[in-house]
Amino acid sequence: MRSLITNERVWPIGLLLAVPALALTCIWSPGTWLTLTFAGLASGIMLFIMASGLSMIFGLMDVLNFGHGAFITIGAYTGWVVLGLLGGPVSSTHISLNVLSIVAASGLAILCAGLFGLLFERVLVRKVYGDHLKQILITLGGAIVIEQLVMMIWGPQEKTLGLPVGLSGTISIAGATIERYRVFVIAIGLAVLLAMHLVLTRTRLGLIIRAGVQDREMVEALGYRIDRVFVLVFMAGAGLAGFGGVLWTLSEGSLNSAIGSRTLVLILIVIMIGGPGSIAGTFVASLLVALMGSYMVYLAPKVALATTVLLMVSILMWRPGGLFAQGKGG
Amino acid sequence: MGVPAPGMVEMTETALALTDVHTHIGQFHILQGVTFAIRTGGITALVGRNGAGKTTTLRTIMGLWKASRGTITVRDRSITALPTAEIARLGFGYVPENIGIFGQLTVRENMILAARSGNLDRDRLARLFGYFPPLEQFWNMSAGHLSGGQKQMLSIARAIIQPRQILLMDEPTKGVAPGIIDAIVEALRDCNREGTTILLVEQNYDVALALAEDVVLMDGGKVKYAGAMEAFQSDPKLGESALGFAAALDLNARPGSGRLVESI
Repeated sequence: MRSLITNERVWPIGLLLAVPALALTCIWSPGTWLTLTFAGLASGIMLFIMASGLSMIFGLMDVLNFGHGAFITIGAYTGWVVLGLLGGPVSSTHISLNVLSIVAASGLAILCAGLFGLLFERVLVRKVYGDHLKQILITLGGAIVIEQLVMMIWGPQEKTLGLPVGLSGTISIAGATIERYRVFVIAIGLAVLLAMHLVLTRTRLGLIIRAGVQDREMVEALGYRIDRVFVLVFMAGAGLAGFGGVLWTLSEGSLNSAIGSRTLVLILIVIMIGGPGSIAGTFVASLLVALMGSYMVYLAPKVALATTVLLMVSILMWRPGGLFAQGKGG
Repeated sequence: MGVPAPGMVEMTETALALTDVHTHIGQFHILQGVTFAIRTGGITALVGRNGAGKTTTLRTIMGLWKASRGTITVRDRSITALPTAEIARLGFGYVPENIGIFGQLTVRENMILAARSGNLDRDRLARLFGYFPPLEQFWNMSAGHLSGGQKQMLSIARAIIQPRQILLMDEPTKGVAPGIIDAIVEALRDCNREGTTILLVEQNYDVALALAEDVVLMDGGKVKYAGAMEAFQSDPKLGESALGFAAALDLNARPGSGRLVESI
């Protein structure tokens, strides 16, 4: 993580550490604090998985995709269907079978959401490169169509979904009650972050993406078809959103077709705070937003959502480009 | 791609030709019928006052701005409608006006990206380090932390990390120290010797004179002169219309004038 430890990146991370520290002094109960912190971290990880793709889509091609929530919905429903079919492994007491069932559900969710992403990019987004207003309208429209289709197929009723047996329940650490599933999600999220980091820093594709976020024209002038790379990034981002949808649904225990549009607002806030196009920024901002939300729901439930917006506004007043603003140009 | 050995280059062959090229940027008609050709294996200086259309010409050749009319050909093949990446793959090296380095990437990563084959040729890299030692020194540092002159070195090194057919250089010596200018001139001359055709936008008269045999003078989005540097030099009227260049010509004519011309 060499690239994370540079001067301009120290203080966003400091901010990330300051929030739990401040919360500890307000809550004044280590057990409760730890429970809330784990809850916040797990939500943050899921937010990150859903938001990272959208952040790269915006960073690389300056495309505002307000339809990203639809991929979350598609992933969530795919996961729900697959887990419903896998009754045996889900209710098995073998944790390996439980995890395998989630892997199967996630795998198909990523595939479906990724393919929808490809379709979305080819049919809708491709037509409106370079025009933000049209991008917002057409992607929002596309998302509404997908959401309505999902509702037509599966109905408007709330679906419930139980956690696999081995991942439900809680464990006790230092007087704190921590849900097993949250620990699982945190582990998954760190693996996803590591994988992204490796792809972005160790592969040629990653180099092209990072360079493209900064100066698309120059990458093209070096002989790389950014538009083709962008389709890949769009698919991967959609797939990740679908993956996040599965994890989120399992965490909530229920879903309806509005899961995507509900989550999108939070994701957009995360991207604004982190700085579009920055994976590190999206990660820090996801954790920041989720931790803050987790503590505020406990401390002052009535203003919890307002504090998220307040956090965004104050950070943007401070750093208009977000925490990890991507310097365009030189 | 094969690089012709020095001396074997057919000097009358055309490497790149623009015919009646028009470029619009928004409502502005920037290039208004640009026509010139550059010789294979030659160095051509593209000169003219600010706003003459020099940068736009290079960007239009690279396909970064599309020509609204006219044709651009490379070795008799039209590239006018090609995407930028395809144009680059015909063997172009490009140093843009804004330097265009990737500040978030290390010097090494910048270079790897520029070597399209994916492998850095050790000998060639050693040669580049010879021209520009700071690149070796800061090899693993974020390019964004380099000084202005070092960024310019990186931009040029990136353009020539592989043997290229044609180099498009947009003021490679702008704002860099005299010592570095000498290194840049040496690097470009060496590339030219191995067969690379160079189109050089240059405000520094000494650099243009030291390198280029041919010159294209632009003004108001049109070509005012295209031909040999010698004829250009001896025609005071041409120098006059090049403005900044005219001053340089006078200065240069005086015996004992410095190697470097300032404030052009």
